[in-house]
Amino acid sequence: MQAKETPHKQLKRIPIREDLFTTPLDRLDQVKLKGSRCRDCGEVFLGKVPACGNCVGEKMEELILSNKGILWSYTILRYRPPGDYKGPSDPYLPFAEGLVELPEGIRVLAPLTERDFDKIKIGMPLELVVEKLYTDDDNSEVIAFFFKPAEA
Amino acid sequence: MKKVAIVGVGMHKFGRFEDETYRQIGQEAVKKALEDANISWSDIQTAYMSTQYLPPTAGVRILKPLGATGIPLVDVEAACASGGVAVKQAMQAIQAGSCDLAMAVGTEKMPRGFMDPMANFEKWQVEMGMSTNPSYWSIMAHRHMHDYGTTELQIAKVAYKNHKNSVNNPYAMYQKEFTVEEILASPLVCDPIHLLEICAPNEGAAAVVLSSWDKAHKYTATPITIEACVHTIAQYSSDFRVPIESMSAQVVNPSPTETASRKAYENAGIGPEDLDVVELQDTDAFCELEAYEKLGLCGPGESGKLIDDGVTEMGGSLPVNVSGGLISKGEPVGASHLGQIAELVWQLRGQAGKRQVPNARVAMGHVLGAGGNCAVTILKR
Repeated sequence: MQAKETPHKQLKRIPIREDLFTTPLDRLDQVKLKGSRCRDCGEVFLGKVPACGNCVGEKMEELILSNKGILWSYTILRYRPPGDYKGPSDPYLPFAEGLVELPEGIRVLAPLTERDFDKIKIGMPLELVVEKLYTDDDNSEVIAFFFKPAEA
Repeated sequence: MKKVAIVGVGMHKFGRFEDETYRQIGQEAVKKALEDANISWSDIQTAYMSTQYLPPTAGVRILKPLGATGIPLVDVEAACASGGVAVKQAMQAIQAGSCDLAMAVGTEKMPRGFMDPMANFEKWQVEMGMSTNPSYWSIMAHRHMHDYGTTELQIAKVAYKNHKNSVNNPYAMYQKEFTVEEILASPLVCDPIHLLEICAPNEGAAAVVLSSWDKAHKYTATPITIEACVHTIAQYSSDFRVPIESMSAQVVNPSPTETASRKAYENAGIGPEDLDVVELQDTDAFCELEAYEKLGLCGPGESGKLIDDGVTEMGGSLPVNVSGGLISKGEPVGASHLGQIAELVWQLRGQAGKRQVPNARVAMGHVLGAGGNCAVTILKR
């Protein structure tokens, strides 16, 4: 095992998906989701897209998405998702997944941090959480996004 | 447009078959369809193999052993709508005059459990846990309940109906009736959808022989015409289905089921009121309710009432999924639409036995899946 030369140094952080987060990632409470807006029709997309799915325009501009939204609908995944799911798996902890409507006019699919499922209601206010999902084989923290209940 | 008829259908049961290879499964359906049309493999001039989970050149691997006649054997894949594309390609080959007798075959042998997420999702979606297929339907089910007051009981009634219908279908994986109470007591998979309300990925095959109409009577006394066969992909902000990561909150477009069925009704010169029997995509019980609305069988938000009123049950005015649907048959993705067509052809010929809808003359098959792939086929006696 290699001794850590700088034990206090933060692990390297990498985004779970490119072009999704504002940078840098060293203060996660300040990180937001990035999107693209079509300059022609105004439609908004998550992350970077090559063209507008709505009007087929190619003039896309970057925008930073609000970190607050409203729960449009949700479900609870009672079984472990198939494939290489990186959330708690041993044992698996059921979690909720929601479509979160942001003021920019987009609904984003995301895991919810609330595990008291009775508290989850359509229309509830939510707030973005950007945090580590797992540490990869290169000892980098892989950063993902979630939503948590917010004050109205 | 040149008229095209179905002159033969054949099916291999949908289920789990440890002792059979996918080749044997596919070949059995093909042989039955050829027998049904009173022809031999050497008569077929082109064939399309519909599959999502078999290896490349599946069509060649399954069909060439029946006789290396040198005809084109082409694989097609369009998720749950794969079978619709195979039929459409075969139909168009005949309409284009490139052949008189074509075949569409669907064959599948899928791994157990939830479908392999890497077939549909990006790695980051899988890692974050957003790769459970039923979660997408469940999110829409919750919203439908919120908007229209649709209930868990109404959703369960769909599963009850389809499981009940399957008792009379020897081709179904599960031929077992469950009470509504048993369905609602089965484990929640993704709230509000329960285990007994979801179809299982499985194995199976179905084959259809298509002929130009002018030659169809050579093969059968009761050719069934293809009045329409339409394939669409969800347009922008029209459908919430894997592997979508977000949706517009500002734009709402007609869903792929609406788009495909409107086009199919137009091509066939009919409306939903003319249908006698429908086989539709019941990946889960809520999907069936959603399809009632999008196919125009009822208005928006009225699907719960439609199932309450018994309209779509056996003996109702428009029976839906009399085969037992995918909920009881399972969904061998590439074969599912061809299985629907086999069922509907038997219905239109009056050969469906205990499942027979009396005097069925006009039938519709509908499939919808990943990417918003949708196919609608209208058949007529």
